[in-house]
Amino acid sequence: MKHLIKTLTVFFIWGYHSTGEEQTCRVPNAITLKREVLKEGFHRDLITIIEGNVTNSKSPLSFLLQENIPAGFYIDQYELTNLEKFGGPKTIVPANIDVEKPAHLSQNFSILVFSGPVHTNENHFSVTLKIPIHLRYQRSQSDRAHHMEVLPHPLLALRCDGLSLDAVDSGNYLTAPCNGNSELQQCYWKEAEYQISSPPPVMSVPVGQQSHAQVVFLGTVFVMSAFTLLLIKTMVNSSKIKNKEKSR
Amino acid sequence: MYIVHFSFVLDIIDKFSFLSQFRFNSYMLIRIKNAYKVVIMFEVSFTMILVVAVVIRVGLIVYGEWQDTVMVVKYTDIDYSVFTDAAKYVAEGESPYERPTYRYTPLLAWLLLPNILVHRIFGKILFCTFDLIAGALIDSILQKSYANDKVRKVAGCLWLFNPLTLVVSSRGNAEAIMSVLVLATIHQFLERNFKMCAILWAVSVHFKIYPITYAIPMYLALERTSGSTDKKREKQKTTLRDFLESLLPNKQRLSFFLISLIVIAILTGAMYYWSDTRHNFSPFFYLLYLSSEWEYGKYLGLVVFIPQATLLVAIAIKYYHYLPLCCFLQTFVFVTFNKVCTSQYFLWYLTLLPLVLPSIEVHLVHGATMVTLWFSGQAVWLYYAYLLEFRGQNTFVQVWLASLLFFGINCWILKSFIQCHSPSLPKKLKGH
Repeated sequence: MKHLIKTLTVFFIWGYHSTGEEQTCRVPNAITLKREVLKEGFHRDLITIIEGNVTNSKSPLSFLLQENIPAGFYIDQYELTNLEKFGGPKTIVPANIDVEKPAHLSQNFSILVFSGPVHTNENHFSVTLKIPIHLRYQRSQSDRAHHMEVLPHPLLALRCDGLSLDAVDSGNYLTAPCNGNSELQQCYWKEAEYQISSPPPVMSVPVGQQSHAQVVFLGTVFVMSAFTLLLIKTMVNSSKIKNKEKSR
Repeated sequence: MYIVHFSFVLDIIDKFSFLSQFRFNSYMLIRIKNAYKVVIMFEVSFTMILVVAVVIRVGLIVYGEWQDTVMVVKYTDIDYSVFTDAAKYVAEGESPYERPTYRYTPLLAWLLLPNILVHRIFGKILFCTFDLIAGALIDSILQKSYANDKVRKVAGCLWLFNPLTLVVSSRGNAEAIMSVLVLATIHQFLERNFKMCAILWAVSVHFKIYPITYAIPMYLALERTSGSTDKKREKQKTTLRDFLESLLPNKQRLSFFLISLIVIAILTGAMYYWSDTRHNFSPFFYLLYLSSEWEYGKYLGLVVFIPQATLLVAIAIKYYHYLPLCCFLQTFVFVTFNKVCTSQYFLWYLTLLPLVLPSIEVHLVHGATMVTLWFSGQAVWLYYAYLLEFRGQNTFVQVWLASLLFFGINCWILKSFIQCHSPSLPKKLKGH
């Protein structure tokens, strides 16, 4: 019974949109994703290119990337807000991400990246989304000099702009904000399958090595003590000189 | 031998005062008694200094706004966005600590409410105004100590046209507030307005913890200013018992610290300690990073406090009778021996540098070497930190060695200041 009501509802909505001008929103058949990481060290740029072909679409498609970010990374929401003004994608990032904590004191989180309406050119579309992503400090390790952090592939969803529900066909739907402007306005997004040729990107960051511990401990203590004593000696001696000068 | 000798500078400027019709007589090299002396001649009015200082600052603020709208890389300091966001939360009736990485006093967020209510640029204008007030305070403190226009002008220019001061405030960093608070504390102490001094000192400790070390020299100096004559004081120190007695609290000391305590208690609801293990200028950084994995690692954070505390107390006991130098040396030691040290910390002691420079007698080569080494030490560190942070190379050991090198350079500079400080000079300079 429940299933029947659901199906009827879907048909009703579909029928509502189908009235008058035909508003079809075809789901692209083969979507490919390309991932690229620019820069080195702790501060990177993550590039995601979504490409595919779609025929007969009257309304431009919008894409949504849900990135599941492991604890080894952080995203600076204020940096993203600034980049939006310079053509960066709209994003929704959980509030209060601590950008200073090391990886082992942080948690995983997800962010939403919105492509906005994507227009097709001779049935082909291609959209590039670039977001800065930063790596957190890692715990020091016994001998390895670098830590490898893997960023999993994102979840991709799509919808047609201007339509409250896209083409009705099988597949998973999820509810998410319609765009990056506000979380209040929710839309249905269709989860889209995609092909990706490269494995999830791996980023390496330098880590402290416990094999240095002895040298660093002794070195720091020695330099610290030596200069502390030197300064105290200088202070004591400088008063002696002045006393001598006085006695003359 | 090249010597920068302030008293001599003044003599020469007086002798050649006819040159003062010329606005900028920059440098002169004069041979006297087998020694070449460099004379820096400034014959500019205070008004002119002030006007130029204001014009440069307005220019930098306007430039900053331009760069921010045109380029992705901002001129404005990231902290300024943090302050402004915090002020926004306050304007909406929420806590400023809703903004991640806001670890300052709520007073700052309230102070910057006009950033939200009027215009975002307000804070920068405020900080630059604080720069000018700090300049006026430096001038006023030096007037008390040296009472000579030329020294005051040179010292004022050292502060107002210091590139670090200019850039820090126009980028919207709040360090100028600390400069004003610390200088005002010293100023009120020298004015013997101890109640006001106590309040200012408490507010500055509430803003940032580092001026807390000034408590020791001020405590010791309060004995001296509370009526006992110099002769009595010298007598008192003849025996250990007398010395210990001189450490006992008196009415003035008690009231000073009572006022401070009340102000700090009112202002400071919650302390916001910052322990960031990411790389920074501190010589302790790599040790503390590695030791965070050790069983007793957290105690090391307390152990590294010992050399810092020892030197702070030693400086207080030795130099409390000359508060500006004492505060300068203490701040320098505090920053150099601290667990965390970033480049904005340098401004804490650079604020006080113009106060002590006139009493430092140093060879030109020695002085130039100090400045060169100070910058080179930072450059070496920054190079390896860049490889680590932006190139992903494991240069932790090099960064650590560079921090030790920079630490050594700073200690050598401290040693030079201790040795080259001439307490007799201020009297000579007192032209009246």
